[in-house]
Amino acid sequence: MKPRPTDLVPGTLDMLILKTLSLQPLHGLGISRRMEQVTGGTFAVKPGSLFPALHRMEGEGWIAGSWGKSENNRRAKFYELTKAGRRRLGEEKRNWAQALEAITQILEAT
Amino acid sequence: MSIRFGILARAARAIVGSTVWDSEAEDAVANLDEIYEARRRAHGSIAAGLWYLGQALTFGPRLWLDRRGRPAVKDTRDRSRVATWLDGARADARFAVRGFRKTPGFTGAVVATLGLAVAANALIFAVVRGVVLRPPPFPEPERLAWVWPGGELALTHRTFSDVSRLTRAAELTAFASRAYAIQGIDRPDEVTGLAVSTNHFRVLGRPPVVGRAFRAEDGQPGREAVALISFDAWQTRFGGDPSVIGRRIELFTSAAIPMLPGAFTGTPHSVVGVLPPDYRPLGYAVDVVTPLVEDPADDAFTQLGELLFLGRLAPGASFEQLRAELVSVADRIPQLEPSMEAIGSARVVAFQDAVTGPVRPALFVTLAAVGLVLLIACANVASLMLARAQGRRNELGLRAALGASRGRLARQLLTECSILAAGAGALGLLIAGLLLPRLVPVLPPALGASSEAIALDSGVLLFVIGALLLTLVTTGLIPAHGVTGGLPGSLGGRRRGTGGTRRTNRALQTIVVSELALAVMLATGAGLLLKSFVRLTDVDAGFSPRDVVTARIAPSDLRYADAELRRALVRDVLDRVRALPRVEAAGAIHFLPIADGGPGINFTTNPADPENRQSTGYRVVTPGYFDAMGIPLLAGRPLRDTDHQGAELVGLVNRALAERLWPDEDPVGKRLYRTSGQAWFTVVGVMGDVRQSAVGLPPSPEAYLPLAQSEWASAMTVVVRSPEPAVDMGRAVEDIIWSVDPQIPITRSAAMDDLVHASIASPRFYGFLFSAFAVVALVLGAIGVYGVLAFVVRQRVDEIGVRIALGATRRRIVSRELARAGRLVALGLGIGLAATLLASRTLSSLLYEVSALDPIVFAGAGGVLAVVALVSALAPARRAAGVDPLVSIRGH
Amino acid sequence: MARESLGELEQRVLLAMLHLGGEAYSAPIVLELEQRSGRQVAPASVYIALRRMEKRGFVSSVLEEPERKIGGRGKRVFTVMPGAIEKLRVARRELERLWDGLDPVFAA
Repeated sequence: MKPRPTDLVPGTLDMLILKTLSLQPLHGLGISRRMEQVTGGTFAVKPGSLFPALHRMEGEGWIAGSWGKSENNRRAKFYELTKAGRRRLGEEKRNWAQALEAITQILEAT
Repeated sequence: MSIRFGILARAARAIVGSTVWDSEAEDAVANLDEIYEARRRAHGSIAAGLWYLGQALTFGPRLWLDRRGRPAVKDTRDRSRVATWLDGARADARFAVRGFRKTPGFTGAVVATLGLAVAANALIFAVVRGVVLRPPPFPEPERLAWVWPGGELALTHRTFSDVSRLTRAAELTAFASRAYAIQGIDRPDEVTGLAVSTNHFRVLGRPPVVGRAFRAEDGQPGREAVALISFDAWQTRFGGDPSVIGRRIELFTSAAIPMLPGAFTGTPHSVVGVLPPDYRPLGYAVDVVTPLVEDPADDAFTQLGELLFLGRLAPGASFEQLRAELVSVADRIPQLEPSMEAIGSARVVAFQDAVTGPVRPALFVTLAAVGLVLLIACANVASLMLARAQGRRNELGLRAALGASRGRLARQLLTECSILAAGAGALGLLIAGLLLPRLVPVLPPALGASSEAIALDSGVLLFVIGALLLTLVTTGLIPAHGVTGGLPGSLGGRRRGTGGTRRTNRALQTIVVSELALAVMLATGAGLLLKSFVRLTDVDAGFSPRDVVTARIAPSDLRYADAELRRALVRDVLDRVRALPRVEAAGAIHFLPIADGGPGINFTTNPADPENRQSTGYRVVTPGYFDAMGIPLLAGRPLRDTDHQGAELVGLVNRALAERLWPDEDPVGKRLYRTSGQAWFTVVGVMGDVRQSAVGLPPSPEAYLPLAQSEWASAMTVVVRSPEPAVDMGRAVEDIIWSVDPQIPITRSAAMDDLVHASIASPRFYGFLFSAFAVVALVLGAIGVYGVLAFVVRQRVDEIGVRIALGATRRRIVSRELARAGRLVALGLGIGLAATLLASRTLSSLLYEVSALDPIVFAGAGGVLAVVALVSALAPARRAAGVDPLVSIRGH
Repeated sequence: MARESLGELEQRVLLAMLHLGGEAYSAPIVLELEQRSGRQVAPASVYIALRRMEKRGFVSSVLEEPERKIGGRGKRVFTVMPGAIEKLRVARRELERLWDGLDPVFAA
């Protein structure tokens, strides 16, 4: 039995979206579906937070939406990473690694 | 994603565009387009188009109903009155459609008649809208005004700069037409151009779409020459490449004024911008726009009277204020320039009126005529409906007896008419859509119609809907009134002549009379226009165009910078052409009559007297031109090869100029002073008058100057008279020109006959259009008379039978029925001719040497119509005589 | 706001939108519905459904800039809102409860 999906660690949504899109362009729900797949169902992102995040990130210029073809050959909005987004992903990754390291150090401190 | 739209889809898009709320229309069309495209791929364009049309018709109304606060969720709550009404309407519609299915002949006839009339109306209205009603594409066009100089003297650049500086009521800007030869792009070519003062784009209010507008310094002498090119030229010659800015093009003034030394010089111009796509300030497309250079040292500044003034009124100012101000400005400026008096007496005309004014009367008259056709079609359909309704009196009576209210029955009839009208509208739009692309190319060029401007857009759609409402009123309400009015007594059956029948009879007769009256109007109009057209074709233009071919060359190359080279070119071409077998005469002229319009010069008979300055048309010609065109020499001698540079300057005048200057003297030997060339020339001969600018316009004063003594007229038309077929001769002339110089553009090659023919395209177009309308009106009118008489005879079978039984001869019966028809015809003709007398004056601006009250035309139109109407009455009258008295009496 | 339950067409429109990734303009929704249901769908119905759901907060929309091609037109792009997802879930549960235990009836 699959564990019930839990909410994301706060502050990581952008990074996860960027990471997901760095592999391939996806439409909105495709992103959340892929995130669930990759994490084995551990993390789920609700549409209620997904679309605002996507629109905000599009505004930041990290991702770009364009009209492509869905599985059913319909016009659906696909997002892909921009150059700025790729850079942003690198920064987020670095921050995350630093934070992780710090937290691990705290947790392992004796 | 570019979608190909069939005609149905295009109609559907127009419907959506005009029925869906503005802010939502774009989204709706975009989405419907996309679904349409998917359907087109899957099911083909016809199925998809029909689907689109269906959606289009329901889309707007459904949105509207939804907005009217229908419950948000469909449920079984009380149905609104709208819904109940809709249900009733649906039932009526189903009933009506069932009825139409049973009578396909009737339905087809009605829909076809109305559909054709609607199509004709939609087409003509589309033209009127595209040419006249569409506001010019400039902001606040109502504040734009033309300043038309009074008198003959045209406006010079100096006049412009003086006047515009002092005028406050409007910002003035000046234009001059230019023909340029252009080089530096893909091919040398002649293009139409405009020279404008540098505030042009500010005044018109439309900046270039790419690059920049002119700046004030572009109009200063000594600056780098700049030019704007048209959107079209940008697309076709430069492939829409934005890097065109800064490119060099070489412009040659190819219609240069021969008196001005140095006027023919190729100048490299830098392209600084691209004009908007629909930029047509003078009603026609231009390819190149250059700044007018304000150079007081240049002769052109003070001498060339060729400018048009346009102004944008200052806020709050009126046309009248502008005119008054121009008068006072002209008074204040010392009369240095002769053209200042032209300003003092100038007229101020609204921009739109000036551009479309000349074509407006013809178009509106045509629209009125096609409206008459629709009215006649409506009348015909009304009589058909009436006859049909009369046949259905029993059915309607039964329904009335069963409790249907009169309103309900009237609604049933109206529903039927609405369905017919909708069908006719759809058919009409379909036909119009199919014909429109074929119509635009045959429109007379004078309309300046562009295929972008003429389209079946939402405006046309609204017009058609309006026309259909009119149709509905005439074809639906009249029969509804005529039939339901007499209902209560009608259950007894048709055998007893009832009030209802009499009422129907009266209605039918009224319809026929009006139909005939309308047909007379159209037939008379057509007759007047055709007669005028025939007159035009018979005009003696002063030359004989038969067996004459022409070829216009524009040697706009730097290789011809030297005047003598250019003269030699023409001489060479003419020498070789004359050597061709069967060439009777050959010459050249710089502005060919009928085709080219004409320039003017200022001259005087006394240079010391500024009051003496006058202007005249003039043409530069070579010896042989007059023989080739068949223009007679009336006095003196023709031009000779010896009239060359260095010899005495000579010229010819036409009869009109001779009569104006020297009414009682011999013009030969008189001298004239050209103010712009500052030289005297001697008149050596008088030529016959030629209708230079149009066949229908009387000749105006003209001078002819020899090419050999003129500074270059860069473009010259070679004129050759030969009995050889024009096609062969034309090709031979072209071959010779290119054998002399293979690089020269031949900008026009045409038989003179064809040019004359083309110049009367407008009268021919209107004449034939009206004739077509008149024929349709005649046919419909004849059908109407036939239908009504047949109906009357059918209603009166009993009475006729009794008469025959009582001994009336068949002859008597026939003549009685014919007399009945004759009364209707006479009444219709009378009313129609009277109405025509009142209305035909609107045609007078279209008529050439035909009175709008031409008695022969009136009599002819009336006669033709009377004959056609009576002939169509013959068959029913004969049928009346064939009634078997026994059968009809036994029927009682 | 968003108190009433979703109508049938509204549910179908929302589901089609989710198939399209949760953001869509009306044409693909119509085509998606047609393909999945095998029936014709009137664009006007979808249009009206979207407009009503927007009023009730189930979807939100922005007018998208025309595509930068000649003849491109602006389209209204709708996004599914969280409230709609909740309503869909409720609707599905209701229906499933009704179906519960009826399988034998429908077994061929």
